Amino acid sequence: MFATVATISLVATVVLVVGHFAIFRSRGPDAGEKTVRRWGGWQRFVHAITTLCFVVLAITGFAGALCLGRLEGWWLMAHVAASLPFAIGLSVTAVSLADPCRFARPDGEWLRRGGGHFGGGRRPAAGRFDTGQKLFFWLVLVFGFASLASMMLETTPLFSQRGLSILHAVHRYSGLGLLIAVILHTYVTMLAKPGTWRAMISGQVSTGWAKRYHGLWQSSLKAESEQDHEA
Amino acid sequence: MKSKAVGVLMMMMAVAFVPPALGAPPDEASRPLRSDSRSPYVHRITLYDEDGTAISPEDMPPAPYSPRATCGKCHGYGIVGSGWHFSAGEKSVDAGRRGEPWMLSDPLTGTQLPISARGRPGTYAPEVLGMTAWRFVLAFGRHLPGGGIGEPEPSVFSKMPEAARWRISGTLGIDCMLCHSGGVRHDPSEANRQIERQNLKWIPTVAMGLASVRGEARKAPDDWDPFMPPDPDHPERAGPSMRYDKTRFDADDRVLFDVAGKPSNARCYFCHTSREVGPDSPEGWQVDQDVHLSAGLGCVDCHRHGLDHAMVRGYEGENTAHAAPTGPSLTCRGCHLGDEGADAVPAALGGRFGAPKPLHSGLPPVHLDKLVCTACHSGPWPTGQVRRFQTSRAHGLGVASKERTDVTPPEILGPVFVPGSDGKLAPHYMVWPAFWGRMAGDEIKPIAIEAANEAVATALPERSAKTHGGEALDPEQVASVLAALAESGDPQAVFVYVSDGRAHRRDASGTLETFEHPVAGAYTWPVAHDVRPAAQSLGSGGCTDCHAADAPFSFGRITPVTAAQGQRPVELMYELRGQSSAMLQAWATSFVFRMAFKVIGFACAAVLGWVLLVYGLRGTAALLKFGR
Repeated sequence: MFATVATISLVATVVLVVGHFAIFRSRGPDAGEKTVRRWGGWQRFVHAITTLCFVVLAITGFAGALCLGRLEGWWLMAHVAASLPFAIGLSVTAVSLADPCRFARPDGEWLRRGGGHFGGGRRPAAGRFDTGQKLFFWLVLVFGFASLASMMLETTPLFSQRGLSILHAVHRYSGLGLLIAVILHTYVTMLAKPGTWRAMISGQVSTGWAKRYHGLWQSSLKAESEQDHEA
Repeated sequence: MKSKAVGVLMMMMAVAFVPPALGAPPDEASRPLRSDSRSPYVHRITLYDEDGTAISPEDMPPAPYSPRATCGKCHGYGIVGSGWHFSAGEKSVDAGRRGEPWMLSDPLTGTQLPISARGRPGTYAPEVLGMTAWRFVLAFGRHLPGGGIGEPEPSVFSKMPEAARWRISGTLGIDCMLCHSGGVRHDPSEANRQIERQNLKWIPTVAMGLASVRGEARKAPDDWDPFMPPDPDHPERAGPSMRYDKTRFDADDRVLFDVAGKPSNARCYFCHTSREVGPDSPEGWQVDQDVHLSAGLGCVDCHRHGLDHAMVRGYEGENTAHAAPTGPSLTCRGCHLGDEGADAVPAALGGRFGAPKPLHSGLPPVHLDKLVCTACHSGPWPTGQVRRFQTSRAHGLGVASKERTDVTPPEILGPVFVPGSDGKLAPHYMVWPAFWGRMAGDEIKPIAIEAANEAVATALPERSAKTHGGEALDPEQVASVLAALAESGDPQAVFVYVSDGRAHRRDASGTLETFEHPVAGAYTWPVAHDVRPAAQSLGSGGCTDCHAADAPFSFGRITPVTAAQGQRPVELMYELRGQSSAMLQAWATSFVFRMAFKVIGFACAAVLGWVLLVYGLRGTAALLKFGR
């Protein structure tokens, strides 16, 4: 059952992404010489570790469920080993980004216009995080929490076999939700918002990128810079 | 004469005690009268000899009673004879999962060979060893309930090499009372004594204590005639003569048979006892019986059958079509958990006999997929070193003996945790086959035990001269016997000795060469009982009962229990399963950090939950405010 649902879901996600790319292929902003700092070194480190662990978790988890029939042996060892740093990384990310990822009034407009990902001229203005990123953040938190909590509860003697089966199902389906969210996130950062991925490598983005995708954030940075200059 | 007539009349009117659950009657014409009550029918019955003649204790010469003619009057002997216990020599019967084999054990030649006519991989059919039905009966008859291979038709045994012996001894018919004796009237040890004397057809009568027998069929000449007077020069050749105990017959020459429709556990134990032996083994009084028996159940409460005696063996995946619809509920899982997919109520719900439904709280479900229930719940608690066991059928338990010691072969080891026929891990007993064989191409087949005996007698006269308790042959002795075998027959033949998981042969220079071969692999069969209480199940002490770097489940030693044994190709339990030591060690090591893992994992989950809760509430409040 899960294998079927997972296969259909993942195939549908990939089809959606490929279809969107074919129809709404986006040209990135001109790379200017000026850059602004978007991520600090610690944040990039946490993101890198969390991403790496997620890749291991996704490969081992879904290979176990879809290909091997059962997650066991070295695959299970790798899955378990990657789970703890992932959980720590996710928790750090949650604490550090929850506040800036709160939804605000401009998010309504962003949503109404589909974030500019479906054509329609200029992109809606966004702060440091656009609504899509905020949605991704909260979805990852929800799925991550469900996946982690269910697995941790499975290690307790509180649940019977039926309860454990339910917890295991929660773990698997929340993991599937997490994977779909990450695929969409990866697509957006790599292709739908060209230039975004560089931010997680160097921590810097071009001013053109900032102005195009996060206009309000870029304006606030500019205002702060002018105030500093005046001071 | 009158009493005989009354007996016949009474017998014809006899109401067979066949409870409704015991299946359909044989056919319309021979359908017996039935009591159809849960109250047992009192078997005060007339005895019949093999010709169907009613027996009187006054008959001269007295004939032994025949269960076929006596019990078979009401209980469809042919149908009963198709049952599991009577088909030990039949190839046509579905063998099901691996089971305990017959063990051909010969300390002199260092032979211990699992034998089964059921065609189970790793066992050898009797005929491969040149073992005729006659020899099979003499070797293993002490724990055969008769019928099947022990009861060939005259037209069949007349073509056998031992036709004359069959004619003198009679056949080993089904001895119903071996199992169905309600008390201790039936003496299986006495039956064994008669087997040794080859007094086969007298066994049911003598074992029941209805008569005593003098003389031995094995000493009677091939042309023995029971009606001829004994030879005064050779009185021992007089053959068996029998005298009934008249006090067992009533005025109408009927005998009260204390028949138990459901055999007692004690009867099962004659053939199905196992015990641990060795210096550290517990005494009998220190060993608890199966928890089900302690709870008041009997063996046959689960191992049921109808008139056809097609015993439910009670393992998952067994073909229990004959026991439908309740068959699936007679497994551990079926009884304790039920099968939601089953149509009928007992099988769907389980809980038979008030079986508790285990919650297995906190046990990852994969355990129930990869392990048989017995892995955690049955057999002796595993220790760092596999131990030595003896069984009724392999070591003649149940038969009084002064010669049986802790090291009496065959060497049965246990418990070893290896996959069963269904691929799930279960505790097993294990033997390393040891035999002399002939190699043709890549194939090794055992040679007849007589040929091996001759070779040992030739090469090792000093070994033949004394009694052996199972001392292993050293390499020099093996080489000598192989040389003797090579000289005794076909010079082109390659003879080998298989033992301790390897095969040995002489190379061109006469040096002993050891090599791997599939036939040398261990034969294992499941340990189904004794089931331990839940509190003593593996895992009751936590995950590390099995998931520890020194847990016997994976790292128990299989190497020599006794100093006399040689080195074996596998040393630890996991090697038998073909598993990776590194993986098992890594997995076991991870449990050292399990508590830290839990603490950090729960802390992270708490942080995520807190963030979701706080911001979820804030968001909800904002939405409500926005709505107003």
